[in-house]
Amino acid sequence: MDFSDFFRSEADQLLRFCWMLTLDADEAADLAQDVMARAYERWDELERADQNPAGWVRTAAVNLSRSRWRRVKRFRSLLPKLVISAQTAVVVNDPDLANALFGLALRQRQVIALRYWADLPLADCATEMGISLGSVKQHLARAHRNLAATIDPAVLQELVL
Amino acid sequence: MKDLGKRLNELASNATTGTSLRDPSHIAPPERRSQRGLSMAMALVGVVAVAFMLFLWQGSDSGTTSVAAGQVQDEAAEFLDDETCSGDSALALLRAGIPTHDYEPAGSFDALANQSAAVVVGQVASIARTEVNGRSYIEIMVTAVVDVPFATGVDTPRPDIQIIAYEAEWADSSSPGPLASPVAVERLDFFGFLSPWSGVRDGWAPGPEGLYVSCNGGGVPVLANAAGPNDPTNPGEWWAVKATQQAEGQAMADAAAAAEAARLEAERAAAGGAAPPTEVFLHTVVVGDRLGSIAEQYNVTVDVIIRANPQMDPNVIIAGEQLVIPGAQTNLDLLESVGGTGLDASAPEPRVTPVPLDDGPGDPPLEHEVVAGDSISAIAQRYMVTISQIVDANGLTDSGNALQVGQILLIPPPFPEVAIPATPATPEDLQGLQQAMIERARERWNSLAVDSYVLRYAEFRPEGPAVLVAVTVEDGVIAFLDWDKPDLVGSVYTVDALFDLALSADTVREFESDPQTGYPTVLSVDPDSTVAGDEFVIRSIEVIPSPPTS
Repeated sequence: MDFSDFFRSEADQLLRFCWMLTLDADEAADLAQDVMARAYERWDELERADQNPAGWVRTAAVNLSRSRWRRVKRFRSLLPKLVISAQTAVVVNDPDLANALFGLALRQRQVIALRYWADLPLADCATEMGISLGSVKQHLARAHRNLAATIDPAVLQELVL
Repeated sequence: MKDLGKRLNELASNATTGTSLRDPSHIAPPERRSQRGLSMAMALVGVVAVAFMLFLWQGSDSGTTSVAAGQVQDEAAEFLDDETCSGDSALALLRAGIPTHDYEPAGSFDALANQSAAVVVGQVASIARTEVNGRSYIEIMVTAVVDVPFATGVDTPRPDIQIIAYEAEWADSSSPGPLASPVAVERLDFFGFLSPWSGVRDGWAPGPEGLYVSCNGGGVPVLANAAGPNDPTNPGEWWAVKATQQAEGQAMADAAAAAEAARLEAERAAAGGAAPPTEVFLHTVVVGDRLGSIAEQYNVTVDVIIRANPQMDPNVIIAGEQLVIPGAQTNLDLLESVGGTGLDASAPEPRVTPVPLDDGPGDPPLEHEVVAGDSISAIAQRYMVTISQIVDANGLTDSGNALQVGQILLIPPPFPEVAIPATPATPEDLQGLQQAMIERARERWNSLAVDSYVLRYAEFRPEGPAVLVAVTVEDGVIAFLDWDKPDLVGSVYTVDALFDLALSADTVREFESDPQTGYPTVLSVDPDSTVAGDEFVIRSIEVIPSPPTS
């Protein structure tokens, strides 16, 4: 598979994953583009049969998102404090879930995205996040608890079963 | 995929509608694959309008320069196929889709330079247009960038400046425009007044009228006069004049400094005394401070402050940061005039704390003579020390209700237990520094008897991603919550608990004090750290000081 094929099949998925990490469409696009550029740089290596490029870009996104998140926050701190511009408003179709995600820590959003959106087993989540299985469970448990603050626990239970 | 996964997918898909990525294999020339910043993605966070104008700059080089069409495809090839630098072609490229919104001209090259973090020259390597989420940008890859060497005469390379970018607005974004493909450019110089721009990774943005390009050689027209009527017509001339002035000024300053030193030495010899004891002072940066205003306040030069604070980034001073100010006598006078012998409620709060240069155990503390109306807490606040420090230093047995008018109190140096490394070198040092800052803030808040504060949150709501929500905390208890989380009402948040939360955060972004009262007003912690059982995220804290006791 050449890189363009990979890009065509994975770009939208990566963009959505990055949005779950950043909760910001512009930042997600920037992050995803950065990740794709890095994947392209090392495509010779990633296209080998034993590699999982889709997993690689998710891991790269997870790793990059932390530092990028901080840089973005630093920039945002230059804006007048606590003045939220209406121009940044985004209309979403599922405000309850969006609101719930916004209340999660970055690691918790990562684990939720990997476990439920990418549908990965916990062990694979641990591999992609570069942390232990126990830590994954811990983050997931906290994420569930925080989601339950916004989403009815009974509904949440059904959603994750 | 579980139902939650499906909902997540629909939400993320909806939220990123209209957003698309560009295939890097289509936009990156192969030989530049490894360069950072090659990805053309740009995201604006927040609302930033970079207003600018482009002018041709007639450079000082001679010889022929051309804008050549390397890596050129389609329209761009047609556009530049003459392979000569007519000036017009380069300018047309750079001006393609120039913003139409109003901007405020800098007024002069000097003003432009003052507004800019870097004044540099270099060469343009390529010009590209990108479009992300309906916004268009011009992205200029530059090479061989050096700082304009006013003072030193020596070129200082700026390898960190590789991308200059600015927002552009095509009238019709559906048409390909002249930069539909990246255009490689040869032998085109630029002169830039630039500042870092977070909207583009590693990008730099030109200030208003802050980017000039030159095809060199004779006959290239300068399209407009420069920023001000009294300025030279191009930045190259301005630069030459400036460098000359700088050299002359430096010579005069050196002579004046030598004369002043000789005069002081003579005075000292005449008085028969030794040189006055050397002291430095710590200035706590408050909101609104600029290096210039601080220098003016202490009657020193900005350079002196920069040299005395090697750990400081002169471009960004942070509220709460402490700066060493050399220049003892001026500051001692200032301190005594506002806090030495009488408390005047209308007097400005001292923003200066004397610290002996050698902070050893033998150094004498300051003295404060108690006047009517003084209280321990007021004195502690005035000198930016804690109540307990004053109580300890003076052997007081209580909180100071028994102060006598005329009593001399010893004022110890502030927070001597906190050792802040001058230049944090490792993550551990930085962590220690942050912890020291928080500990210091905790001391200060306690000494100021702060017991109420407001927490602010951002919340995701259908009408927008972030809605300001305020929580009022009184006497350490959440009393009012403009948010449907009733279970949080009644949660106890003491000042100590608050700082424990701050300590658990990865990064403390800001700590600010009110410039008038000295009260801490804002503590912002990294928003991706969660607190209090991950139930919410602290955005900032607005302190409500306790009402003054009369």
